[in-house]
Amino acid sequence: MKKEYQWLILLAGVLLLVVSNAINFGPEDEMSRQQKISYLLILATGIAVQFFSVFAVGKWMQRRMPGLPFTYKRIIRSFAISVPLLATLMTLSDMFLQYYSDNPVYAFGWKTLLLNLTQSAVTALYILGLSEAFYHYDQLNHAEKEKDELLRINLMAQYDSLKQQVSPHFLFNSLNSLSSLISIDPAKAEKFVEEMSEVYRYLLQSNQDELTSLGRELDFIKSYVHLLKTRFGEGFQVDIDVAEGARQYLIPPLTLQLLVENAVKHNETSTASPLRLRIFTEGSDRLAVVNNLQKRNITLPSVKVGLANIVARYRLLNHPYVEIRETETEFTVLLPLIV
Amino acid sequence: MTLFIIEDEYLGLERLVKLLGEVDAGLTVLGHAESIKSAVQWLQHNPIPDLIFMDIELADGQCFEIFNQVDVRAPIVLPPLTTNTRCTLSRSTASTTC
Repeated sequence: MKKEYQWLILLAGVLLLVVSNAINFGPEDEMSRQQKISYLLILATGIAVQFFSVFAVGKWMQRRMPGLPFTYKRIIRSFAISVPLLATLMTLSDMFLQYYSDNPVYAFGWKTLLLNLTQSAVTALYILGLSEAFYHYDQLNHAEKEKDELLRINLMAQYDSLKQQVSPHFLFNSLNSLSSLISIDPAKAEKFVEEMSEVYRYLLQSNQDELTSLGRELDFIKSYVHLLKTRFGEGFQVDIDVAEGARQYLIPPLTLQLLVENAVKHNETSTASPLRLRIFTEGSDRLAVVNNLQKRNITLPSVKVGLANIVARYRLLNHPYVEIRETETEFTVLLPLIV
Repeated sequence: MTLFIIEDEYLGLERLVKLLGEVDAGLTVLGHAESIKSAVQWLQHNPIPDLIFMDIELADGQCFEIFNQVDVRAPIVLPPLTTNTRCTLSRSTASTTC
């Protein structure tokens, strides 16, 4: 909700209270008409100052401690600040009113202090309640928008991955290598065909699941890498070091394929300066994909889109801790392992 | 006739050499390079071959970068571009965007 509307609602509340006070004036009051008006104006100012200051405290605390999990902490702290603040303002307000109306309404003492504190507590409670209501409404809207955006990215990613399945580039490159192998080394050609069919088997069926086991994805990657290694020779070196136990973790299908493809697409793969890619588990909760950075001499529409897709997919799965590190010599992607 | 081959995939290279041998035993392959770097190196320090076979995708970039770094005075044979290769060649700058 727009900030202006929120303040307007508060103002309406103030006016409501002032009006209710005005109605309370009876014919037996000793104040003149002018005095009554001044009284109401001071009352209005007093209440407005109270409402606005508590609201401001609420908003300030929302900036300092944002987020749903901190709601109670936020409210308690805002409350702890607001109540003394309000009590002070109320006291000042009452003093002004007394001075103005010559009504000995105000007598300093424990009873009045207690009364003030109680009133402050109640006011703080409902103004902070209002503030938090606005806050949560805004957060909800924001979350909805983000969800829609993530769903859109996810859909795009699925579409891209589908396109990739029928993408001619990988197919023709592989067939090219195969065609050379047939006359040069028939045994290797046979092995190549087997690995190639494994790759396509996985590519064509993996789009249906949201998650697959790390074990299955790694088996696929081994076949995929076999094809790439046949193509690039010693220019592409891969080292996969994942413990048996980690194979049961889950991962969105084709995540690793995208990372490997990116590495090969954007880095030099010469035998003089080979591309070295490593996949290994880091700790018990993350999978690392690291390659030495030796960027190729081109301007391709970049890595960013593919990586953004991966980040979005993990966020949708509620595991948003994908970390991407780029140094001068190394490119690292850290993926959370899902149980 | 002397030839030079610029190709980063070893399989492609071997196959080409084999095919050339079958076509005409008089053809001599002077050497090969797998990257822009090594191709430029070779071309700067060796006599011009009669013919150059050049692949587009090399280990460290696209072959057109070679023209930016060295004056190539021999005829070049490029691989056929498929209809899926949406490359625009700019002759004046010998650069390409795909």
